[in-house]
Amino acid sequence: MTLAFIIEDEPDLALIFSKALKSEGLKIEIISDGLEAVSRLKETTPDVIVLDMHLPGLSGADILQHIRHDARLAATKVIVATADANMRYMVEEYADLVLLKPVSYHQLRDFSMRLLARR
Amino acid sequence: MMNFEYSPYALPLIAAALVSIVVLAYAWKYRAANGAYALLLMAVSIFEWTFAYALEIMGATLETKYFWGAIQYFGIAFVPYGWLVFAISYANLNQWLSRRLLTALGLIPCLTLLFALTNQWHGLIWSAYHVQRQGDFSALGTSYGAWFWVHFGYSYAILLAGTFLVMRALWRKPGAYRGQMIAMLVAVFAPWVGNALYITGKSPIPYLDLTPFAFTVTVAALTWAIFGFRLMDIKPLARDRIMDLMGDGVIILNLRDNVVDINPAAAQMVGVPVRSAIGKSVEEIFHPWQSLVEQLHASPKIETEISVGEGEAKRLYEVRVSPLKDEYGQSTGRIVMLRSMSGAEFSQPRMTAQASVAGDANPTIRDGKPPAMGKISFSVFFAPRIKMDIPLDPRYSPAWSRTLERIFTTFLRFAAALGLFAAVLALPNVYGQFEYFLSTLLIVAIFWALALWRTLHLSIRTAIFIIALYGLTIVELLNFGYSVEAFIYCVAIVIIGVLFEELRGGIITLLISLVILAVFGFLIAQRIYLPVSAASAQIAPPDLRSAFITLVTYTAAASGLIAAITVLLRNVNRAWQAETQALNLLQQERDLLEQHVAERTRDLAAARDQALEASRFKTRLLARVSHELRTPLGGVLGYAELVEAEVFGEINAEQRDAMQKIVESTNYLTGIVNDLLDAAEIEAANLDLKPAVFAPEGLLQSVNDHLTPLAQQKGLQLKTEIVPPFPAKLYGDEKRLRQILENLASNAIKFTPTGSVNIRFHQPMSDQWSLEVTDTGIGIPPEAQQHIFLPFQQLNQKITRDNRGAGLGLFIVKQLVDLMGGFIEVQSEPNQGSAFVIRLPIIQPQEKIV
Repeated sequence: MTLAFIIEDEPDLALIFSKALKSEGLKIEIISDGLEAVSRLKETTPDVIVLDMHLPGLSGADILQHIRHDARLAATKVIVATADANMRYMVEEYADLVLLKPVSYHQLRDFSMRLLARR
Repeated sequence: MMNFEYSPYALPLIAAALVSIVVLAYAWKYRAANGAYALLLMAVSIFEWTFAYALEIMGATLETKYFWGAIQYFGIAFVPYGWLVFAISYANLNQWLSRRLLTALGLIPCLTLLFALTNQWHGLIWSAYHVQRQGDFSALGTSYGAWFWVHFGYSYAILLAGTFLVMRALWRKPGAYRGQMIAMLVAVFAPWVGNALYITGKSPIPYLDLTPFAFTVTVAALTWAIFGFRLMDIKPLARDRIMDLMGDGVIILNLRDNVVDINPAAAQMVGVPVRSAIGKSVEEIFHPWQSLVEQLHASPKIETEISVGEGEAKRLYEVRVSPLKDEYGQSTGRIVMLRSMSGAEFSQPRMTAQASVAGDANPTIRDGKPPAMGKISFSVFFAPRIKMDIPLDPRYSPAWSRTLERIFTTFLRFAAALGLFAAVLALPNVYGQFEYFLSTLLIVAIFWALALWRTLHLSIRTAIFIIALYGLTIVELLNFGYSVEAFIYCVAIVIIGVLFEELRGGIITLLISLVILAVFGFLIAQRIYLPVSAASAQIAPPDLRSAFITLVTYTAAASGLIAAITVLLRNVNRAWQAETQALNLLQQERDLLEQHVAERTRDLAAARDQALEASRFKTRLLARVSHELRTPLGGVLGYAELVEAEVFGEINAEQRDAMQKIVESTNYLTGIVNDLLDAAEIEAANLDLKPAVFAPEGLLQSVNDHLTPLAQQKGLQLKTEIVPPFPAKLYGDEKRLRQILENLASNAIKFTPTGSVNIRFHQPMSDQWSLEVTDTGIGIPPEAQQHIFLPFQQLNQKITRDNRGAGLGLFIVKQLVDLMGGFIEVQSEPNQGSAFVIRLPIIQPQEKIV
């Protein structure tokens, strides 16, 4: 079963993102803290991650860095969802997709399915 | 009954007495000055002493000699007393001079005088006395009594104390007044030298007590030092570090309106260096401000303004002139305060700039390089060029200093060459006058050294030269008596003196020459000394009368020369001064202008920084606001979509419609937030392109991916196309290109009800590529086409739900295209569709985007 991490501290957005991916039959795990995200990533290998940039504990950029330095996570697709327009340009080359908030429910669902299909 | 007989020894004494009378008159005239009363007392005492000594020598009988010998004690007792009182005033310790101290100090001199006058009853001064004769000379020979030794010890003690005080004061004075310093040193040491000569028996005039002469020298030197420099007319209440460091200008004038003190700030303001300003009259100092000079003459107290410079550099100074009074309320001079009325003060280092401005007297060697060495031509040796790197005399302008040095060097080279020639000619006669020849040779050698050593300070060279010439004169006098050569030397000395040390120098050298000539004239005429090399029949001067006539002639000729050269120098210097002052003022004006320009530049830079900062703040604020807006927008959008997608249960058609409207509104709001941020960044010129190599195909694909859902929602076709041949790689900012394309294409989708939107890349020229976005929409009327790229412009200004937007999209596109060095065109027919064509240069990676 395809596993998705939703790393997002805003509960409403996390809920919307999870609904979008759940509708496609993915298994969802919501993580709201940066440090917790990293420790979970050490144990688990998700297929897709929806990643917020502004997080408590550890920033999204650091988490992205961590993911990209871990060979085990090389196949994991990372969708960055950020409200910071500048951040978009900074992380674009590390992320598989950068979505500027507000992220549409349909958009997230379609893009993540497309990314997973490309695997 | 007094009996006198003529004695030639009396003549020098009478001369000294006359000098003291002149000093007396002078000191009386300026008796208001500090220390003048002590000088008066000294002058009176010396006059009395020398005059009574002369009468003692001429006295024919023991009684006469005894009487005048006793009378002398007024002077003998009170000269050291006067000296100490003067020294206390000079050292600025006037508070010591209480009546009690003056009385106490005067007690012993008074007793000495009393005992001298009553000596015949007790013998406290002289225990025994007789007439002592040596040749022509006769004086009172005495054995000293007990009180004499008290007087002797006391006199030396207070002389020493006075010397100490004066030396200490001299040591502490600022070094600006070299001449005064020298005069003071002469005054201090003359009595000691005179005394030493007398005691050791080395006196040039045997038997004669030189002490009164020495004191004559002292009192004359003091008078010259004090009144000649006019420095003690006013109590030295301002010569102070504070005054030097003050930002305001201070000028102190004496009663004759000559500058006795000026601080650097004032010197800067009027454009005259401090040292050359001292001693100048107000007319000279304030020459550029005639109305001020007139006011100064008209009224003792003035408040006015003067201005320096023109236009931007114009500077106003407030001038306040007020009288200075001593503690008795007597006016002693005036103080002039200059205060800048326009802000910033002067800085110090400008003086050096002035020096360089005034200094280029000889532009051909301005770069400081000496003329080509190696072959020194004869004419260059005897007519040397102006030398730039000599030590400058602060009293004169640099140009005049260098000119004087050149004149001096020229003079000396001639003198040295001719002197050598003369010495060679004299060689056959050396037998028998070897010493004479050697001393001549020594002096010629000194001339050569002085002629060649140009970097030695000019005053030192002049002084050595004059001393050497005096030496030559004395050698000449010793050998031949009054000779033509001796007088030629004396004339040369006076010329050098007046030329290099002005009127003072001329008068001093003339007086010294006169003293030397008079002493020798007297000794030779009286046959006390016989010149070595002269035949006895030719000894000159033959008698006192002819010596006197010769001296008068010499004085007349030398005075004429002094007057003529002084007038010449005054005129030259005045011209020079005016020029220097004008240059200094010009420099000051220039500096002020520079200062103004610097201030302006600073202000402008500050304003620019402020504007940039404000703009950056705006951008940051917008970034922050947009960030804060996006998160809740995400919630709104997401929940609306979830409801619409029936994730939370079934909804009816009306509810679905409502949800769709929420989604639409949210998208609209998001677009505005994006556009505002971009527009702000562009406006703040904060937007940097980040060019890199990219694949055009990938770019087109991502735009397609992004916009296809939007087009499909409206039932439109989105077509993308790359027309071959087209480069596989391009260099540019891919993200911004995507932004441009998405902006244009989403616009096109927005304004196209049916049909298609096409995006096409092609390469019309070898160095250009083109992006085209065409649609089959409502089109843009021609009159609106020129406005569409301005911010907040939208067709018809009529905002409907279908076409609403902030009107920033095309503005951002245009700005980005401009940044990339390209241009954008629009072609449109209403209801036919629009075509936006962007042309961009094909840039190789190593090239920079303009």
